[in-house]
Amino acid sequence: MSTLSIGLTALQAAQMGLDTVGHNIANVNTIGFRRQQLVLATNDPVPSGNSFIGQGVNVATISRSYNDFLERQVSQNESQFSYFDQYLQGLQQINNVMGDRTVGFSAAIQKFFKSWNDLAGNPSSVPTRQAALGAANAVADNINGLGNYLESLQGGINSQITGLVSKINSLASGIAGMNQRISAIVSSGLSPNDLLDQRDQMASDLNKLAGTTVIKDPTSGNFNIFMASGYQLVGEGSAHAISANSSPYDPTRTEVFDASGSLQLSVNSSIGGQLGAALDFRSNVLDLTQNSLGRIAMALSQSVNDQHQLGQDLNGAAGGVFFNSMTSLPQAFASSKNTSAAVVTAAVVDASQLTTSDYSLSFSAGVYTLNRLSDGQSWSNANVATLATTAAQGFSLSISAAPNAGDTFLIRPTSAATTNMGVAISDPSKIAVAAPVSASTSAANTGTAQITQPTVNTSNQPPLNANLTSTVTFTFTGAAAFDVVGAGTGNPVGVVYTSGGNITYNGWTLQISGTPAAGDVFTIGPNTGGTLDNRNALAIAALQNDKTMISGNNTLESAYTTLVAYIGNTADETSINQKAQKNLLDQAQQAQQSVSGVNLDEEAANLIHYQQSYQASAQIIKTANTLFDTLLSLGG
Amino acid sequence: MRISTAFSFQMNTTALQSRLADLNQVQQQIATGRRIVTPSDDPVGAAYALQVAQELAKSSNYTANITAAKTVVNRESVALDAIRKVLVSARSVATGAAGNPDTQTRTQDANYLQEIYQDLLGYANSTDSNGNYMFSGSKGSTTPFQQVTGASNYQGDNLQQSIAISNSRQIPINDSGQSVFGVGTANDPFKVIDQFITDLRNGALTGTAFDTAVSTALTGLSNAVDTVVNVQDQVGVRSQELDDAQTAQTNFTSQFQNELERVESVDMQKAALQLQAQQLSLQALQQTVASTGKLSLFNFL
Repeated sequence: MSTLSIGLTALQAAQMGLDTVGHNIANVNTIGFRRQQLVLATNDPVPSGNSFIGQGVNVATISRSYNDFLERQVSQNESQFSYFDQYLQGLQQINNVMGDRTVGFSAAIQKFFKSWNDLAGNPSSVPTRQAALGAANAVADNINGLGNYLESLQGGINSQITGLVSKINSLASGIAGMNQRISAIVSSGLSPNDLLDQRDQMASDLNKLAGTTVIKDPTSGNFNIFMASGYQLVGEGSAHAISANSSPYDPTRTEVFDASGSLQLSVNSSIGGQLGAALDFRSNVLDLTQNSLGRIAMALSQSVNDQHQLGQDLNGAAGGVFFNSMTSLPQAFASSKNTSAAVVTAAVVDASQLTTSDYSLSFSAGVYTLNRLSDGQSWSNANVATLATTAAQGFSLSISAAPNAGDTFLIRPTSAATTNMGVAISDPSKIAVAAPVSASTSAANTGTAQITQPTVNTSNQPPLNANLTSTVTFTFTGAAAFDVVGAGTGNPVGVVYTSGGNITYNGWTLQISGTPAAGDVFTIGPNTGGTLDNRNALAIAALQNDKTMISGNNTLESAYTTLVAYIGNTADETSINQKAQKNLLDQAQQAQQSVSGVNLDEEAANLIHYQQSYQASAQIIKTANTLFDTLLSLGG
Repeated sequence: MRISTAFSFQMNTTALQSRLADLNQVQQQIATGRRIVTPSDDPVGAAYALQVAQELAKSSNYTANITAAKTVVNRESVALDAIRKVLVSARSVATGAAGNPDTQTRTQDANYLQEIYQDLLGYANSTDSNGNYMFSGSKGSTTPFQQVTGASNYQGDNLQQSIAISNSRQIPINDSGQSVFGVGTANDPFKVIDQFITDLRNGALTGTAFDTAVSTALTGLSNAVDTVVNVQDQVGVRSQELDDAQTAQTNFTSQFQNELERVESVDMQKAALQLQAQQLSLQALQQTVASTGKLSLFNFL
């Protein structure tokens, strides 16, 4: 009497079918769920005479709709997309604040130079001087504002790294736990579909965070997971944690290390996914932006200060520094792994030579090597000060004591300038609009020679030439030569006269042109009471056009423009990459989902299908029952 | 191809978001009137706009400098004209005195010249609207000419104030008292007039000696007028250069403004059409999502 038992197997199979459909429908929105399918097989038939009688159906397995190739494609695109998406988010934070040219640094620096033009037009006006100080403070506020914002982004990156590292560790240990559970089940020959889905999803999440590679053990099916650098996060049933700790150089900067903290993993773009994007954004964009802005601040401060100190203020005193000096702002960090206590000090010597790169300084075999991190250019010398001079990167180096071989230092020349810009003077009369020396022509001269007003040589930086404002007299002995009298000149006689040629004494330069007559006298002396003299203001206003201020071939504003263009281009490019990766990811997911996703219409049809099977199976049992009743009634 | 229900909803959401983002971009452009809202919208354009804005700012600086300089030059021009007229009056007194006048006329002339001397001193010590002396070189707060017996006593200096009128050109905008009045030379009008007053009042000075005095005064004053006229010519040239520079800078300014407009501004018509097209496409998508979302076999079970 096999009809009943056949009916029963059919009923059970239909029930399983309904359960599978129900499970699929229930998980239609479960992330990482892969559609399950009932796989049926016929029971072994029973021989009966010369034929076999079928014995119904059994459930061979419930399979998981899974395509290895498609899954791998999704996973690759996911880590790429997460990388670009995260990178773009960082970039947009900078891109958005650099957007408005009417309120940004550009507008502030334009107003600053306008104020010096105004000073040139109105040298003694206190309101004009006050306005100039206001414009200078606005430039400083603008740079510091942007600098502080960038610094807060650095803080954000630090906490992002810490957060990502903790998520990565928790996923890695989760996957290791899953490996243990799954391998135990798999070894018994079963397929724990839902656990597999969960582990896949965890691996996919981990991949998004760290750009990992999964190597599946062919026998146990265990996931071994590696980071791009080769660091193994998950090996069989155990996880190897990573850690977020301070950089050995800069305690305010978080880096990624192995579990013990001895091996730094965050080097040279060796990490993918969101963590890699955060690290790469920091080194490629954020650091560079800070350095570029810092360099602009240093160049502005040094150029204006240099010229300002050659001038003379409204009280007749020599000009002081206009902006706070940035000379001592370069940072030099000693590695915490150094075995000596040597401290390196860096200082700006020529802001126009500064680059936007950071530098590493290492010491071994008695030789210091300075390495420019942006392009790997390096210089070596046994003397650290000579090394800095030879490298000519705009900063000097000195060291407190001899380091030990293997000691390393990180030099960040420009970064700190972004938050330390300030105007050094608050008294408007202290603005040096005038020049300290002036020339006069004796009224009794009979020749036609004309003298230009002396300009103080830019090389004459404080301490100024002691005889700068000493009275110097040129007396022509004829049309071709003159005698010089005055402290600091050495009183030369019979100096050959060249019309229009430079005449330099005591730190100033002027020209005499035309035809002098014997006995003609020109006098150079201190500028006293010259409240309308605007020569120094004109010189500072002209710095706006100075193409040598930044790396010898850029004006301040063109350097800023270059930075904005770089940010804009990078953001644009990253956005294009992000969109392209999004498209690729969508396509890969669509392909993967067409295999593994749940379609509710399909499940509805299957539901009806298994419902009908169930009803038909029940009918078999009912028929068997009726047959049995018939037999019983025969006996009655 | 099988369609995953959840994924198809997800794709619809993504599509809706991206249409909304596009719409938002155009809306922002219309609201700000600018095509480039952040540098990434058009990196090349954004950098170019910064450069043009910088040139525009410089150009307006120069325009402001020129406007201020023109005021200074015009003021000096007016003062020079007055000085020239005073000197011409003094010269006609000297011309009139050539006819060997009587004592009373000589006294009248001397008194008249005394007033002229004061007028001249007044003009020479003219101040500008800020109270700075116009003819003291750079010593704006030092009275350039003080009345002393004999010659004028110039207290100013030789400095000329310059102003930048372009990236490469600075021009002087004033003249020192020394160059206007020939201080220290035989033609110093203060010295000449003062001497002539003394001579007119000196009754003992007659005949050839008086003729010589008149002729010296005439020569001195004529030369003094020439010196002023010479300075006036220079001021005229300066004024012309300022006018030319102003025209040039005004042209630059409007050219830079047009350029900025071209690079940065939104073509409103185009943007409005774009907005309409994007609204339409968003609506279409919304309707599609709404209607396909309702389709399910479960509705028929």
